[in-house]
Amino acid sequence: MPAVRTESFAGRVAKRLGIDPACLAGAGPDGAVTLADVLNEAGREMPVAARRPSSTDLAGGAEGAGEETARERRRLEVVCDAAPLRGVCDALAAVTPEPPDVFALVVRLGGAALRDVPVFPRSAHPGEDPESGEPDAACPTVRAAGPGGRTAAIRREAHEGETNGAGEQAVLTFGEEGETVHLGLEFDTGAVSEAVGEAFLHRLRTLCLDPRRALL
Amino acid sequence: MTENPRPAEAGAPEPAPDRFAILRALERKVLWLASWTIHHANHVRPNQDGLKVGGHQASSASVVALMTALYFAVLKPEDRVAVKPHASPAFHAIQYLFGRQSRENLERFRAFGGAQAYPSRTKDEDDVDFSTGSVGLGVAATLFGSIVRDYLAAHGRAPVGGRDGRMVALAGDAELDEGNVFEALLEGWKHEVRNLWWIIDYNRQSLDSVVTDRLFGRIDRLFRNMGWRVETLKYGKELQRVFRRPGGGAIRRWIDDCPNSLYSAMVFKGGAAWRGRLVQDLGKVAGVPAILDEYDDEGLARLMTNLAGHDLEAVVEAFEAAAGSDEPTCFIAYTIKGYGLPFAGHKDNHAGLMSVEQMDELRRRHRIERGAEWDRFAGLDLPPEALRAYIAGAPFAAGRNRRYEVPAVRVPELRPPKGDRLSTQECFGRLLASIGRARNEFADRIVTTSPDVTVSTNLGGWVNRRGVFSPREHADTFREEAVASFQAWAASPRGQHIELGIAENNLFLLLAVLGLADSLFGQRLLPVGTLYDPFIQRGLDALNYACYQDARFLLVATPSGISLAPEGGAHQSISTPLIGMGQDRLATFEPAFSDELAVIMGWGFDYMQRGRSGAEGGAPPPSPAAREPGLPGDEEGGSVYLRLSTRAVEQPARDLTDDAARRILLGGYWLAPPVPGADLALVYTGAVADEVRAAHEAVRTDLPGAGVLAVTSADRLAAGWRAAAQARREGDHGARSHLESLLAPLAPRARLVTVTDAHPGALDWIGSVAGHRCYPLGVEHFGQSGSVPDLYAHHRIDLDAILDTIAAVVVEA
Repeated sequence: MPAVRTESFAGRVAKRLGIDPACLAGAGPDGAVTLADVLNEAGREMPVAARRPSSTDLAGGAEGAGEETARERRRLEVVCDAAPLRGVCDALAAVTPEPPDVFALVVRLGGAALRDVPVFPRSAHPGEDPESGEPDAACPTVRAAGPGGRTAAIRREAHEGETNGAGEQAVLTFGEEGETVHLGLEFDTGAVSEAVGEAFLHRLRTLCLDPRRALL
Repeated sequence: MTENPRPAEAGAPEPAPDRFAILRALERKVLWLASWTIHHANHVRPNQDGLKVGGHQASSASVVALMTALYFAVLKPEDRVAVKPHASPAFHAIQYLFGRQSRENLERFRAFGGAQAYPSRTKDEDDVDFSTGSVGLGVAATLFGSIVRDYLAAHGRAPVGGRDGRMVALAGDAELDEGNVFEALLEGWKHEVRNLWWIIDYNRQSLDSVVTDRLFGRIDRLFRNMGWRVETLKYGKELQRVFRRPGGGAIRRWIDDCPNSLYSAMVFKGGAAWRGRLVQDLGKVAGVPAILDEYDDEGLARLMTNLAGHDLEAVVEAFEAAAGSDEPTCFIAYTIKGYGLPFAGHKDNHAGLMSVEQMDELRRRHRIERGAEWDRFAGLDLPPEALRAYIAGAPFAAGRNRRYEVPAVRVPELRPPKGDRLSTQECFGRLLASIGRARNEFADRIVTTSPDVTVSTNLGGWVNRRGVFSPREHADTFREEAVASFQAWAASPRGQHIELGIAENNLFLLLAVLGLADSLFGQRLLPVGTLYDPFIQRGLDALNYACYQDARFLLVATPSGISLAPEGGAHQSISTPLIGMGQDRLATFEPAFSDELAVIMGWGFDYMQRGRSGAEGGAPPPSPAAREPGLPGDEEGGSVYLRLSTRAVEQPARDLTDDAARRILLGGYWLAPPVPGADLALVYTGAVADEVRAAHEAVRTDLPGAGVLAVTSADRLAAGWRAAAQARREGDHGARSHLESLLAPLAPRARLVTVTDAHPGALDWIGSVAGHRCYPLGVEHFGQSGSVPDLYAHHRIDLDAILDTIAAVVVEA
């Protein structure tokens, strides 16, 4: 990006409002004057765009998101080396509220085509509802799919240390060492903010999952 | 035209009609049908709006004999023809006689859905090879058709019908005033065109008046200079017989010396005027009075207008004599505008229409009963079955289906070039070079072309791998002389790049034919043409012509905007994105990043093949891009225009998901999504990405919820928006365009700051989608040279201007 820095944005706004920024006690780092300082001095409200995206925004529950937003399905995608899904679930839990409005976690290996699998029940053996044996579409469960029939479902509780119906710890690894794995998180409502995406990536890094890129 | 031959006497055995008797009968019928079609449209069919319908009866009449000879005696199915636009009624009449045009369409000539005013590949139902209408373009298209045929043959992709198919243009003489004709002639000489006929309807009348005297001499020398053979068809057989008699030489000299305007006036005035003038000028020349005495006035008029262009025997003889050679041949055929009609020769006859009374007189002369006007053989003295048999046996009739459908070529996934800072032009060059390294059907079907800007539009890598096309081997002299160069310019029949001189009309006309190779010749080509973006405007009519014919090509225009900076103000482009949005059958993109370009190019090569891919040989596996859901109508396909830049921008570190690719192809995506209810978003396209991202970064602390909308195709965003609106009007209340979904998170009162290195109108319309106030930044003035920082500042699309505008938004909100 161009190296040339111009005057601060808050200063530009102040100038337009006839306010001398030097007269303001800045609330920013090192006393820097912020937009909030300027608008407060002018008796004006802050724009909505001044609000930091939150996990609520991620889930689409924010005020003002509107009906149209609720119809959107968003995707956050990272590229990892062979990924233990357990860690992914942990990272996910760290950045989403409870219960997370995660629609799906999809996994692709080596860029292969993604194949959705049905939504699995949250407390049964993958693929079965404990009562009816049918998939429970209403349950916001994490799901995963890989190529070549390597599909699996992860109960959301798995990351809480429970075992699956077979009594196994639900820590699954997709792909071979060094193989690229695409992890996509689809959200059925709301906007995926960059901040949440970054938080997710940060979380993955703390879990040593080595995410390389993120895409909204 | 000769009068109708007398019917055979009753009781006498009826001899089989000879070829020319049939051709003369068909000539009569074509003249009648063409004239009646126009008359019906103007005087019989109810007129809905009171405007003149028109139809050019005179222009049609002048080429009736030439077209009759061509279609009913000379043309083969593999030949391809461009008919002069004003001869459309004669063309449709001939197609009607072949059974390839309906009476209903003729009755709706120039009406909605009917036979078109000018022959159209896409709008007419009959057998149009090349659209015409913007004069000069169809003529030149046949020259490029000849080059394309040779290209296909040289690459072992023999066109259906073999190499001998001829490209034929029937041109009006005034059409030669179009500059693009001469641009094409030079290119044809360079490429040693063959099997090409241009037949000039030399009626010496233009739209407004009579053309300059002795133009034919200039035309003759011009074509000979370009290596063409020239055949002048001046005198009909009857005049030639008279010239051989005593006094005939004087009559010939009189005609040769007669100014075009006087000759035309005499034609209009008729036999008595001819007699008076000839007696005045030649009455004392030995032999002339005897000749004049042999003809009554009507006969004398017929003699003096017996030009070769109206003499079927002379025309067929000339065509058949030329058919044995593949030399490009120009026929200068002397004709009379309006021949056979009451306003023949009158200088105002171009747009003239016969009155009802004049049409009744023509009906009487052609012996057409009322109610039998559309009868294919009414009023002719030859048996209909003989005429039908002749037409069915004409060489041209053998090819019922002259348009081909061929399988699509699978487009592999294109991997974007890597780098921290790249320009889209560099990425294009690297992508194509990468394709050129591969050995596959896709790469082999690509053919590139450029009007002398091959290197400067980054085609060099491709050309180094795939070579320059030439009918003959040409060594790369610099290489042979051990002079170091990045460019290998060895030319051979195997080359896949067609180098043109610097004439943009030629580029678009060549693309028009390359992009129709599947339909015209039964061979799929994937044409890529490059030029500097501003010079789209120089060849714009030819570009429109190519799109109108539904030719399929990838047009890469680079550099663009003011971002080419030091190269100079005169090479800047401002309004081309608006052209892209307005041009039918052309999907326009302006990517900023390497990965966007790779996705768009991959999709583009697939899109170019959609809508007319036959399944012969089995359908190939779908190209990756074919899986993407797109806009309504995407399945029909079209051409693609990429507006690229030489300005390197910082590349985002990311791998695109399928969904991200889908959004790029639909026209845009949130590079930084807005917070729900956000009241500010930056919207940009193309080379200003760095400025916009820098501005976003600069306000990030104060306005972290502001969005950045990356527009990859304003054209497709707009098309999708309009399509959704139309769907809602038609009752699909849930229809929603991609752009409407993108803008949905924004507050109704949100402000959009749009930034583009082009006219701001390319993006500011987005404000009307959801009623957001728009602050458009762009370029409105042309031609100032400078560096990028200077120019961006001057035109107010730099970081400073963007930040100032955001500040204004905050204050005004």
